[in-house]
Order: sequence, then structure tokens, then C-alpha cells
Amino acid sequence: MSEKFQHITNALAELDEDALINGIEKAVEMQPGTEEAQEIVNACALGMEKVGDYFEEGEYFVGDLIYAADILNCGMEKLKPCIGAEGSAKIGKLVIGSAPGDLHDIGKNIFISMMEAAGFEIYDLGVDVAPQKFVDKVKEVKPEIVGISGLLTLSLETMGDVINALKEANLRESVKVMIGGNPVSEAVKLRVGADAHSTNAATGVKQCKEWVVV
Amino acid sequence: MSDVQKLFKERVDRITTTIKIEEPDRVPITSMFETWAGHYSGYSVADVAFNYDKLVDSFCKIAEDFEVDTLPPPLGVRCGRIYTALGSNDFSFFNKEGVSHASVQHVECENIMSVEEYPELIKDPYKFIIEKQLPRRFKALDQAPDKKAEALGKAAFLYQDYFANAVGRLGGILEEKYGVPCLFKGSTEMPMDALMDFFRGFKGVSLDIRRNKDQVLEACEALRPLMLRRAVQNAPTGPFPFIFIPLHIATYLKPKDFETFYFPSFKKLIESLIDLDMTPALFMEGNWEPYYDYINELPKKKVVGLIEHGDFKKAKDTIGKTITLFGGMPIEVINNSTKEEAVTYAKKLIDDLAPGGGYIFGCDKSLLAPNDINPENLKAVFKTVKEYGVYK
Amino acid sequence: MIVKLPALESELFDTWEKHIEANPELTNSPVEAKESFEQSRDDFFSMIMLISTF
Repeated sequence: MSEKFQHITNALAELDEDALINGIEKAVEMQPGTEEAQEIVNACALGMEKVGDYFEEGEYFVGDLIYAADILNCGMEKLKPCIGAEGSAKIGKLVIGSAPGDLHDIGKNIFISMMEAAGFEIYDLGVDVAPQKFVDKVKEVKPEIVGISGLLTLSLETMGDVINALKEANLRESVKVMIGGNPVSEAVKLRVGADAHSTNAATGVKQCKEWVVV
Repeated sequence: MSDVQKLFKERVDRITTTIKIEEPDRVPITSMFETWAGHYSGYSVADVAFNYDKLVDSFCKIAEDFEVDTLPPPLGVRCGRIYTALGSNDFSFFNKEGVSHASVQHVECENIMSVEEYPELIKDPYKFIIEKQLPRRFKALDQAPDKKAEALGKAAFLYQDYFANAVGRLGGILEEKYGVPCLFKGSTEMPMDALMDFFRGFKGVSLDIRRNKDQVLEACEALRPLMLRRAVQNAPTGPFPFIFIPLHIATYLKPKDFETFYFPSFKKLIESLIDLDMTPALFMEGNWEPYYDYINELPKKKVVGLIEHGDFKKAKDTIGKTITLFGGMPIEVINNSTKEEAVTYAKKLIDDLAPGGGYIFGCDKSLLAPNDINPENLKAVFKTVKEYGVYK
Repeated sequence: MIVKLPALESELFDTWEKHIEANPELTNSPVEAKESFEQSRDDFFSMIMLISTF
């Protein structure tokens, strides 16, 4: 990976908003082609991976992730004119929503920002998403990955309802299911029948990338 | 003195001794029973939020079946009548079809206060609340002055009725019939949590501490007198001086940000409450290990902390001489293990946390939705603690 | 009210002093008038705080 945009990766990793936005603005002024613009996007994605590492190590907390996702979005907005109308090639599709009965979405939205930067096409079903809505969307867009987010303890049950609905519709085998949110754990993952769980948006993105890279 | 009065006094003494970080006769037991109390009796959230008889019956059944030493007031259920009368935009108890939710739903207050309004909030927060915050959160308060006045009048009547005929009535019955004292005298929030929960939202405050640092600090200072007054002005119930304070944003901040933004008003509010002979009962959700040093800066033996995550032996060793610890029993263990495994876990908790006093046994989380706790396992665990938790 | 605190500094926090300034004929009201005025003001504050910060 070229070092040309290392300063952008570092700025995002260190949560230096001014350095990040300046860096992207200067790069945009150079009128980069779509390939180079994609390199800038990749630099941002790398920065977010570092943010995830810091979170895993206990240096960054959730408040930092929220800020990181926000400045990432600001940066990506500045890049939009360079990326082109069709956007870059997507590496995979994600259908995601908050578990039935759960209205929380901050964590989900952080994850979505990072997944977009990583090159995924996102289908965001919103909050309190009924199992049938997940099923219908999966049938429609045939994603590689289904994400279910939740914060409430009761969501740990309803995540299972979504996965069962996918099973009943004969869709379970065609997707990878990731559950995310503060209360999820390995035990919960096994109980509901998911493929992976994540309490760290950035490592969740890493897992998703591994799933789609053949 | 009747048997019930004796039982009541016994429980009051037990807890009063415990919070001095001295050894009582045995470890006290309770938990944060909220809407689950209704579910246990076969009632929905809407039932207990709107029907005061069902609310009172539910909590009495908890006292009877679980034989707890104390119970929190039922405020966590919330007074549904006030929210419907005022047309709340962010709290709901049932959906459009009238079907009750499994627990009270609260939508994040995202656009209640814009970042440009910090100076206004800082100058006069009480005025900002009445003129701007409330009308943005309650449709009935977003009307012409005379209609708004009527809505406030209705709210006042409903408020009085609720505290007399729901909260007060329940407290009286629990004391007189079951000998169960009320755990909290009042409640409040830390200024920065109020700023997040009811003005700027979680995302807003997380960004504000980067882009509007001074204003966040000033807003916390401005809100502090209101949060203090709220704590001590609530209907005085119960023989204990506990003021219940759920802590929200703290564990989402890295320690440096916690120290800069959260801790100053946190410490000052706690000290003010202690000066008024109140005992702050902090709901320390999440993992507070990164902040234990700050907890140890608080006045000793004057604070109670409900703990959820972390190494509890470490908690006892590190902060157990400063604060009384409460909780720690994972609902995950009570629900997903055998009775024997849950009981074994509870005993280990007693071994780690009970020595020297300063420990109240309870579940690590509030009990809200129908399957939040397995009642049979919880009863078995409580029974064990009553026997195993005796101080020799 | 359990504890007496100094008046809140706010344009919308009413006090007996502000009240008798606007209604001088009430300056020498019976003590129950002042006490109940302050109690109802405190009750109103509690209600506002419950619906705004709880």
C-alpha cells in the first residue's frame, strides 16, 4: 500500500480532525482520478482499522469510535465528487438492522460507516426490524453478510428469532450472520446460531472482509 | 412492636450497618426490580405503567415471593399517564396498535438542543428546559401559552396523584404489610449524563467534547444546581438516605476524557449530597475498573455503587473501603446455568465481596423484560445468600 | 421538601420575594401563605425536573 496517503491514515487513527480534513481537501484539490481516490478511501479504511486496534487495546473507548465515525463521514463527503457516480467496485453486500424490539442504532451506524469505507454495499433496515423484513431483504439483494445489532438484553433473544426466520426461509446457509452490540458474547453467538459476534466495530469489519475475500 | 415492625427494623439496621462498611448480621439482598415485576405477575408494561393497582400488586408480590430486604421505588416503570397526557416524543409503552412493549422504550434525544444553543442553556438552564427542551419533547407543551399552561396543570395533577396513589401507597403497604423498607429517598442524574440524555444525545455529546470543550464543562456546571435540587426535593420516602443516580456516559469515555469532562461535576454533586447527609447510590453500569482511582477520591464510606462488570475481587480490594458495593450477580448466570451453578457463583461472590461488610447482594442489571431473570433460580440464589451470607 | 436549598438562579424560578414585589399588598401575609407558595413552587420544580431529566 503506497505511503502517499499515510498521513491521512494516521490523522484518522489519532482522531486528528483538522489534519484529516486538511489532508483530504488537499488531495481532492489535486483532482485525483477514480483509482487514486479509491486509494484515499483505502487510507481511511486503514485508519479505522487502527482505531479498532486502539479500542481493542483499551486505549480508545466507545466515545472515540463515535467521533472516528463522524470525522470519517466528513472525510468521505469531501471525497464523493472524486469517486464517481457509480462509486467504486463493491467487495460485498451487507443487510443490517437493529434486532426486533431494539431502537438503538448508534453502534450499528458506526459499523455501517466503517463497512462503507471498507467497500461494502449497505442495506440498512433501520431499527426494531421484524424477522420477516430481514428475510425479504435477503431474498431481494442476496447479500453475503447479515448483521443484527442490539443493546438490550431482550435483543439477545430476538436476534435468535431473526436467524430462525432465515433458516425457515432456507436462506441461512447462503449468508454469514454477525451479531453486534454491547451485550453479545461467544456464548450468545452459539445460543442464537450466528457465525460471528462483535463488540468492536473495526474488528467486525475485519471479519466481514475475511468472509468476502475468496 | 409487631412482627412486621420487627422485620422492618431488622432490615433497616442490616442495611444501615452495611453501608458504614461494617459487618451486619448477614449480607442484605435486593435487586433493581422494574417492569419485570409486572411481567412476573402476568401484567404487561402498559398494565403497570397505567394501572396503579396492578403496579402496587406486582411489587407486593415481589416482596412476598422473593423476601427481599428492601425494594427500590417503582419509578423505573414510569408514570405512563403523564407521558400520554403530554404527548411524549421519546418515551413509549405500547405501539400504534396498542400492544404493550416488553420494556419501556426510549428513543435517543438527538435534536433537542442544537450545538448553537449552548450559551442559552448555560445562562439559564431551568428557563431553557421550560421554554425549549420540554416543548421539543412533549407535543402538548409545544402549543400556544394558554394550552401549554393547561398541559402543565394536567401534568402537575397527574404527578401529585402518582406520588400519592402509586409510589406513596406502595411504599406504605410494603412497610406495613411486608416490613420492606424503600431503598431510595430520591434520584437524580449527573450533569453530564443529563446533558447527554435530554439535550444533546450520545452522539452529540461525544462530538461536543472535541469541538465545544469549554461549553460542555460550563453546561455541566450550570446544570449541577438543578440536579442537586432534584435529588433532595423528591417526595421523601424510606428510612435510608440513598439518592439513586444512574451513570450513563462515563464508561464510554476514555479515562482522560472522563477526568476532564465527567469527573468535576460528578465529584461536586456527590460531595454536595453528602454534605446534606444523603448517600449517593451510583449505578455503575459497564466496567468501572479504568476509573477506580477516581472513585477512591470520593469521601470514604459515604457512597454506594451498583456494579455490573469487572473483577469483583479486584473491586473489593481497590474501592471496597471507599464505597459500599451492590449487585454483581450476573443475570446471564442466573438464567443460563443450572440452579447449582448459579448458587455456586453466588457463594463465590459472597466470599469475594462480603468480608468486612459494605456489600449488598443483587443482580448486576435492572430487571425489565419478561425473560430478564429466571425467578426460580433467583429465589434459590437469594435463599443461599441468606444462609451463606451470615457474618460469624 | 426534605432540605432547604437557596433559591435557584433562574428567570423562571419564582420566589416569595419576587411575588410580593409584584403584589405589595401581600407583604404581610400569614406565614402559611409564604410557606405554601414556596412549597407549590418546589412541587412544580420537582414535576418539571421529573419530566425533563428522568
